[in-house]
Amino acid sequence: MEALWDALVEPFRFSFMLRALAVAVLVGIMCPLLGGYVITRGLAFMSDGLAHAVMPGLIGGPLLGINPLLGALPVAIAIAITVGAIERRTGVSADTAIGIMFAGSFAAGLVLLKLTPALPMSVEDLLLGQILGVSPQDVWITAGLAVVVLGMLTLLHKELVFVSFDPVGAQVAGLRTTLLDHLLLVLLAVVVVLTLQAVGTILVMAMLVVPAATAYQMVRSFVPMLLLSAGLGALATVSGLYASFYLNLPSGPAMALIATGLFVVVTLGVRARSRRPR
Amino acid sequence: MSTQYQGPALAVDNVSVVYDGVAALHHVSFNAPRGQLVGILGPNGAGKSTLLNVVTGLERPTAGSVLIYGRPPDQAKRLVAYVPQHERVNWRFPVTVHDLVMMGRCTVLGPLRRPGRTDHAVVTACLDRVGMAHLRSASVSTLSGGERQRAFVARALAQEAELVLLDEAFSGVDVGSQESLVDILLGLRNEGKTIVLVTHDLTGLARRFDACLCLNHHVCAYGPPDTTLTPELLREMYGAHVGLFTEAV
Repeated sequence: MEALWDALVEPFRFSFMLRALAVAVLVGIMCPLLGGYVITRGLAFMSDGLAHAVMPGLIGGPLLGINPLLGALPVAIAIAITVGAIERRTGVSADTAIGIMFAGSFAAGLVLLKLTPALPMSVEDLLLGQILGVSPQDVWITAGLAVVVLGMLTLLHKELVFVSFDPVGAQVAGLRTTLLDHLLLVLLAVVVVLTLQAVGTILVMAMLVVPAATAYQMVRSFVPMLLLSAGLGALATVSGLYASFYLNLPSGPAMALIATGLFVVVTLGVRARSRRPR
Repeated sequence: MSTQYQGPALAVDNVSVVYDGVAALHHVSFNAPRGQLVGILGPNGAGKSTLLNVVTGLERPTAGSVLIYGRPPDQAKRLVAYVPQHERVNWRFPVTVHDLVMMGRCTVLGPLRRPGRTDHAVVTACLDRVGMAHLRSASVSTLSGGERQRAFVARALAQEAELVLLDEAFSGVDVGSQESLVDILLGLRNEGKTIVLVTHDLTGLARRFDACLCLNHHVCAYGPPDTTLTPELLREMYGAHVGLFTEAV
């Protein structure tokens, strides 16, 4: 028992691991809470597109002498709003509008990276994340933004549920549905940026989508689904952190693999249960 | 509100809606008095949903005006409840029957306020009213067509709306459930609510409405079912398929 306890606390004798744990828990809770809306409103590609398209902001931040997170945030919000504008003004579908911004902005980020060789950042860092290298400032920024996101989701819960389930009914009832949709996209942009440093660009979608999709199979009411998603997300990120420490694995992929493993186990369990004779 | 205002619950005056030079609605006028169940009938593509969109304020008419209890639609949101067509709802979103009815409290509560004990009591009473209390914890996506419509009507009650609009009210609802839905709607009418429902299914149920608006881009007829649902008029609206409908009504 003592050996197990030692194994659990051992990684956190290092301050960088404590900072990583704080960010892992925040990201593991925050992403799935918003992920509930992502998977039920068809926003998965939007999340993936945002995760790639914020690259100019991540690189531009250090160039301007500010934290990469603060550089990425306005870019993410601008892209989330611009996608809606492209969709409305050109008549193309939402996924096409996302594809346009995704490709253009990601390409601009790669060019910017090439033009600034002195930047202490690689494409691999951006793609895989660097949770073990987060600074105390990163932890505070993540915590602050997490409080804002959680507060917004709580305050606007009944309106967001109405507009997500029955957008036309919500509009007739007088809710400002366009504003609520934009707000949700802005929150998504904020959460994507928060998650980038922990799990990297490629795996952002995994944390936004997989825990929520796992919980979706287990409960059929929205609030219990969100709470379960947050629990599963925190479990995946924290256990991924342990796996990366003890097995010397890259932390972002370890977190995403555990989340995916939980999804597979739950899917098989739910299927087996539904086939069992009553 | 309803005790002070003496005019009709819904006044549609000379409304036209034109898309790319084609008239979806052409000079449509009618008044729905308070405490009536009015059916808007017509074939697919007759402009019924467009008319409902104009009434709800979702769409602006090219010409004409709509007044709900004497106010334009954008100033009467609180008074109007809407039961959408099946296709316009995101059924993937996981809500229980209780959650759905609680949405009706959104406009009553206003922004940022969370539902309290009173709101939960109202939701329970509304579910009782439509005979759905035993299904309060059921997922909406698992309900039958008739149960879904009753749950949406309960939401309209929770909203404390005076005018209830139902788009394609009987779509996906079996005949027995259509009868019980009309029973519930007639009960609401007797309490002073005004019900306007749209349907393309011309079943015998239309005989139970207080008034029928026969619509085929323009108003073919408006009045009690006995005077509006005549074979000649049905032929004008439905053409060759009229035989099927005359048997139904």
